[in-house]
Amino acid sequence: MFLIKLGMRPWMKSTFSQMLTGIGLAALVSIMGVIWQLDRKLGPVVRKLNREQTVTVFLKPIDHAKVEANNEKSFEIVDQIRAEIGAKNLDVKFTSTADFLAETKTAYPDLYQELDAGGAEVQALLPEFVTVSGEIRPEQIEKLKTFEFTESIDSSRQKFLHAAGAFQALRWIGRFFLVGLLLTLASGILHLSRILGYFHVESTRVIKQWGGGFWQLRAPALISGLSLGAFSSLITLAIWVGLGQKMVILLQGLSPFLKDIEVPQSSLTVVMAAASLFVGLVSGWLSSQFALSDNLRRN
Amino acid sequence: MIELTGVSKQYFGQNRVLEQVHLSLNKGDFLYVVGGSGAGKSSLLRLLATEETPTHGAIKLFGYDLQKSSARQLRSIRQVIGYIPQSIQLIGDLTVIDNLELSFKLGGSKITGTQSRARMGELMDRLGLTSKRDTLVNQLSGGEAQRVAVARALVRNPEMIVADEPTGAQDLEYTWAMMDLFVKANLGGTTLVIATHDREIVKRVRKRTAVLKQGKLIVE
Repeated sequence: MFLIKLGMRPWMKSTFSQMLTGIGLAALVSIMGVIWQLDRKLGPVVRKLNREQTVTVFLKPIDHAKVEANNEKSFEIVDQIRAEIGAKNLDVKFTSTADFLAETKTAYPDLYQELDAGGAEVQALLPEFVTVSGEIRPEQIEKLKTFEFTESIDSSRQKFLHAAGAFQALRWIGRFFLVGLLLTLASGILHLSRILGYFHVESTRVIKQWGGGFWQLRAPALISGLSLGAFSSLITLAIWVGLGQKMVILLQGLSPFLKDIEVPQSSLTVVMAAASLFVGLVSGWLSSQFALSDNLRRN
Repeated sequence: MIELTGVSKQYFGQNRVLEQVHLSLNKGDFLYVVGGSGAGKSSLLRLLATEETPTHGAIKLFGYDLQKSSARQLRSIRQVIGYIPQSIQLIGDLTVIDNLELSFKLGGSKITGTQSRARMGELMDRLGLTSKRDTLVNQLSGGEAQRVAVARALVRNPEMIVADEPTGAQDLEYTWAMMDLFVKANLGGTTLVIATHDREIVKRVRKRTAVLKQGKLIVE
């Protein structure tokens, strides 16, 4: 009982400081968790933007009439692309003027009405194109440019290069912050352990003098650290449960590419709470060592 | 049981406070250590209580050579010593009863909870601490704290009591109450080493006396 009383002494002596330390610890662990999660979630997005793309091959107007006249021609173009660029895992789709108009009708009804009102003259200006989607190598894009029916090529990778770059930069900035926060956490643990250690120097000295064993010597400091960790862990739990969803919605709002980011699973919330508890335990253990080493120096 | 052979103690950057001390005590011995201020009484008692180690020489306690003892053996030695340091060394943020319980539980005593409560109650009663049972030690006066330190040493029924000026802050009533308790413990087989300035105690409770002068021990 007296060991528990000794362990809880920091709470009795400086309740506000202990609470503030616990909240600070929880905030630090939570922010680190958010950055770590952001890095994990952005990884696949950046990979997808860098590897997967949609290449649009706009067909030469000269081919329009032929293609419209003969639907077989569209299959020919698709087959030729498949065969010559080795599009085994690629999705190749032909979009005719009629398909384009049909898609416009659904997506942009006003535009469709204008185009429809313009009659054949306007519709003749509408593009026909083939879209190739998937992981496309640069040499495959070069090959697409060489076809006789190709007028121009538009690559989504080029279009979203800045987005991929921005996300990648965000990841590195996050990692930079993570290292900084880790160092802050390490120095925080060290200072916390020293303060808790000084709290227990005298009692450790008495317990040692009166024949206390390994665990009895360490118990007060360990209980102090563990209680701080438990408090911090509850705050972490509250932060993740209370703010996790809002944070995800904010992240999703950053870009359409991040719309797939999910709300943190409960297991992750538990991991974060456990991390706070662990930090408290480490502080407790270190402070017991500080309290003991201070006693050793006396003799 | 207790043997000091050629023991010297020198603190860093200071003169030797103890010089070639030889002392031998058997179970149940009662020894006063007297001497002027700075004679080395507290240093000698700190060595006997295993709070410090000698610079030279050897100390044997209960068959163990202190310098060669393992941490476990040191712990066993400390469990059978009741130490009353001059600086008292109580845990101020614990109550009187908690401080007594600490000594009792760390002492590895085999007596039951009821017996221990009775023992603690008896000691607190004799030393006028019953009303202070649940008071934090840092709220006690110097004399009261000293009496708690004495009770803490006695509660575990130790093999040896090492007391450094235990009556220094007491009035006559509690001085003799303490001495009665020490004599009673001694009759029960406990070895006692008491450092004191109080010649009245030495005169009235006549026991073996050792005089320390400039770090040298002369046993009378």
